[in-house]
Amino acid sequence: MKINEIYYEKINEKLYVGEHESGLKVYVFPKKDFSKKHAYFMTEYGSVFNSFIDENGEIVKKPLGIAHFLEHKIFEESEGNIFEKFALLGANVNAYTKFESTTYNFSTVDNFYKALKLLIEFVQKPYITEENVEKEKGIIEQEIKMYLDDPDWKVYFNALKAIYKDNEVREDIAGSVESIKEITKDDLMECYNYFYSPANMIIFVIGDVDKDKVFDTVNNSLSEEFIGRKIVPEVIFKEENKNVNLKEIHEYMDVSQAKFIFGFKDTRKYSVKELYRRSFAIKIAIVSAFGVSSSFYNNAYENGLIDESFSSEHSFSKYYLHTIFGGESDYPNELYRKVLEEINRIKKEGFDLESLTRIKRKFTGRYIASFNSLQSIASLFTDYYIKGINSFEYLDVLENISPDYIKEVFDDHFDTDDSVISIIESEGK
Amino acid sequence: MINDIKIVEINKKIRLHLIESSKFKTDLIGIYIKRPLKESEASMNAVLTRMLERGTMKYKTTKEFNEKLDDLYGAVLVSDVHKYGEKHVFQFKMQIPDKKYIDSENIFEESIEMLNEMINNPLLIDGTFNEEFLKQEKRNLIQTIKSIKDDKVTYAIHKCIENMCENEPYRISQNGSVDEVEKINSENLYQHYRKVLKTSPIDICVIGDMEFDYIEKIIRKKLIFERDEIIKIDREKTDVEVNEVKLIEEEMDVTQAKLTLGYRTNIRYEDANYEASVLFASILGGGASSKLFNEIREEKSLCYYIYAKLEKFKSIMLIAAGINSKDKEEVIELIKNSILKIQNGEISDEELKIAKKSVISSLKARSDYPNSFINYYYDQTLTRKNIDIGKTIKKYQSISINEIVEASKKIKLDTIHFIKEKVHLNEN
Repeated sequence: MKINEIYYEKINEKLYVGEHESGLKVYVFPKKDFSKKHAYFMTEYGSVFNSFIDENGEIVKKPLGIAHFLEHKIFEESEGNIFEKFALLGANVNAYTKFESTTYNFSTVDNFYKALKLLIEFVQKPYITEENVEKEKGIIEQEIKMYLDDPDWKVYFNALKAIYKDNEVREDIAGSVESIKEITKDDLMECYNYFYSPANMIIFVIGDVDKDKVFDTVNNSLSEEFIGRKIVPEVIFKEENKNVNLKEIHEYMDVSQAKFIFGFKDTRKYSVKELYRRSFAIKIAIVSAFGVSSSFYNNAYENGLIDESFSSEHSFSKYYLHTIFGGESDYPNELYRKVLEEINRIKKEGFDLESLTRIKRKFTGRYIASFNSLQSIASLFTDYYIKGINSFEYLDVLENISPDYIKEVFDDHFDTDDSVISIIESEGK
Repeated sequence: MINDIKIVEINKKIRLHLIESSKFKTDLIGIYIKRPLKESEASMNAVLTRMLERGTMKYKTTKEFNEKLDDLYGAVLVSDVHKYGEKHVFQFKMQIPDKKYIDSENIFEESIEMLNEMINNPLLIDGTFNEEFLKQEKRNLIQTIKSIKDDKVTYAIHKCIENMCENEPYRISQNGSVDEVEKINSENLYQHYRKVLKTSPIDICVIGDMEFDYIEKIIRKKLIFERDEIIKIDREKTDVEVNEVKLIEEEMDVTQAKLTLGYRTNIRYEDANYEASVLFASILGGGASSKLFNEIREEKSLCYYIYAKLEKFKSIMLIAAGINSKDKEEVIELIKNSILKIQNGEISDEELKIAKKSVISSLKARSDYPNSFINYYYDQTLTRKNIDIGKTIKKYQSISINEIVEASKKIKLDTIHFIKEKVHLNEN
C-alpha cells in the first residue's frame, strides 16, 4: 500500500492516506488519548442508484429501497451472529444508507484491530438466501412504518417530492412497503457484486490507533474475491427539470402545530471546487439572513410567526443542490411570504457586512469545536468524500469567501418565483 | 483521558468542580442548579430557562444576546431543565473553542461574564421580567408540551410513565403542564427565580485544558450568586406496591402500534445489587445482541425496534417496541418469556460477557465527550457514588450470573400501555 501523510496546521491534526493496488482507499486520522476508536467502511452506493448499465451494456432497473435492503442483508452470516461477534469484542456495529452511500461502522475501546478485521471481512462476504430475504421484509416493513408516523420526516420527504420530479432523492431511502416486496436474492447479489468493489469503497479510521497496524490489518483482511471485483457500472440519472415539480404540497396528520418546509433548488452542473465554494457562500448567507442573530429571526419570533424550531439547511452533492427552511408555525403561509420578501429585500439592499464577518467567525469556532467528537469528524469526512471534497480544507475555503461572492451566489441561488412550500397540519385547523 | 480533578466550595453550597483534560479543542462550563420536581414549580423552571435566553441588562435584545455568542466564536450556550428522577435540575452550559486555536486571549473570561449576565443579571423592566417576552415564551412552552404527541415513539413512553406513576411526582414531565404554565405571571415568576438562585444547591463544572488557579480566580471574580438558607431535597420513593397490572389502551392516527411495558425493579442505586440490575436490563434489551432483539425481531420479524431501559433514580425499567396491532398479545408473551428465561438462569457466558463489555466500554468512553463526562460526573455526585470510573468498572467485572438472576427476580410488571391505530369507518 502506498501511504501519504498530510498535516493540517490550523487544526494541528494529521491524516494518513493509503492506497491499495485494488483501488481501495484507506484513511487514518490519529486522535491521541481518546478511549473509543471508530472505523467506517463505506461504498459509494446509495438509495438513488437504482438504474445502471451492466457489464453487457444493458440498462438495469432495480426496485426502490434496494441499497437499504442490501445494507440489512450484509449483516447475515452463514454461521453465528455478527452483532454478537462484535459485542464479544466490546464493539458496537452499525450501518446506515444515505442517498449516495452505504456505510458500515463500529466503535470500540478494546480489541480494535480484531474488530477492524471482522468489519472488513463481513462486508466482503454476505450470506444471502431466498429464505432470509423473505424474513427481512417484515422487519423493513416495520422500519418504513415507523418513519411514516413521524411528521418531521414526512414534511421533509414531501418537500423533496415537490422540489424534484425525476431525481430519486425524492424517494424514501428504504423504498416503500410495496417496492421492497419485489426485491429478490438475485437483485441483491447483482448490486452487491457491482457496487461493493474496492475502487468504489473507502475505509476511514479515527482514534488513538497505530497507523501502520491499521494499514497492515486492512492488507491482511482483503479477500482475493473482493480484490478481483473490477467493474463498477455506470449509474443512470434522469435529467431533472430546471423548475420545481410542485409549488405546494400539503398533507394532514395528527400534529399539535403545523410543520413546514420551504425549498429552493438549482439543477445546474458545477465543478467540485465551484460547488464547494458556492455551498459555503449559501450557508453563510442563510445563517446571516435567517439565523438566530438576524433581524428577520428576531422579528418573526417576537411576532409569533416562528419558534426556536425555525432553521435553514443547505444540501448539495454531485446529483442535487437545494436549500430548505423548516420549523413549526401557526401561520406557515404568512411566514413563507415573509421569507420570500426578505430574500428579495436582501437582493436589493445587500447584506449586513458586520453580520457576515460574525457568521464566518462562528463557523470557524464551531468547526474547531467539532474536533471534540470523533463521530463528527468521521461523518463530515465521509459525507464530503462522496461529494469529492476534503473536509479538512474547510478553514482554508472559509477564509477565501468574500462578501461580494456571497451576495452574488445568494442572488443567483434564490429564485422567489420557483420555490416550494410543504405543510403537514391537523385536519380542521 | 481525565488528567486531574479538584473540588472547591466557593460559597454556601456552591461547589466548583475543576476537571483537566488536554485532548479537547474546547472549554466547557456547566452550571447545575438543583430543585425538587414539583407540580407547582416545574413549569416555572421550564419557562425561566427560556426567558433567560431572551436578553440581559447588558444585551437588551435577543438579537444582541445572540450576536455576542457569534462574536465568541460561535459559543454554544444552552439553558434548560432536566428530570433526574424526582429532582428538577437547571443546566446552563457554555462551550467555546479553547484560546490555543483562535485569536482571542480572553475568551474564557468573556464567556464567564456572559454566563453571569444571563443567570444573575437577566433583562428586567421595572424590577420584573418583560411581559411581552413572557407571553411569547409561555405560548412556545405550551406548544412544546402539546407537541410531545407528534413523536409517537416518545409519546408512548411518556404516557406509560404518566399512568404508572400517577400518584408520584415522577409523573410530572420536565416542562410541567399547560395548566401550570397558564398560571405564570411576571411577578410570581421573578419571585420564584430569586428563590431558586438563593436557596438551591449549585454545582459548577469546568472541563478543559487550563490552569485550575486561573479558572478558580475568574469564576470567583465573575460568577456571583446571592445566598440564603439552602433547601433539602428528598430521595425518590422506590418501594411501590403493585397489586394489579394496569392495562391502558389508546387509539391514535398511527401506522405502527406502540407497546410499552413499565416494571418496578425494586433495586435502588444505593443497593449492593444495583450493578447486577443494570446488567440484567442490558442482557434483556440492551442492543442488537439482547434477548428481546433476537427473539422478537430477528427470529419472529415482529418489530424493527425493541429495547429495555433502566431509570436509575426511580428504579423503573421500561420496555418499548413498535409493532403491528394484531401482534400485541404475542409480543407481550414473548417479552414475559424472555424475562422468565433470565429468572430461570438461562444466561450464557457470552451474554454475560457482552453485557459487561457494553456497560464497561460506555463507562470508559465517558471521558471522550466533555458534555457527557460532566453530566456523568454530576450524576455520580447526586447519588454519592464513586466518581472513580476505574472502581466502578471493577465492580461490574466482579458480578456473577447468579447475582443477575437474583436481581431479575425482584422486578414486577406495573403497567402495560398500548397505542393502536384508529379504525376508520366508512372508508374503503
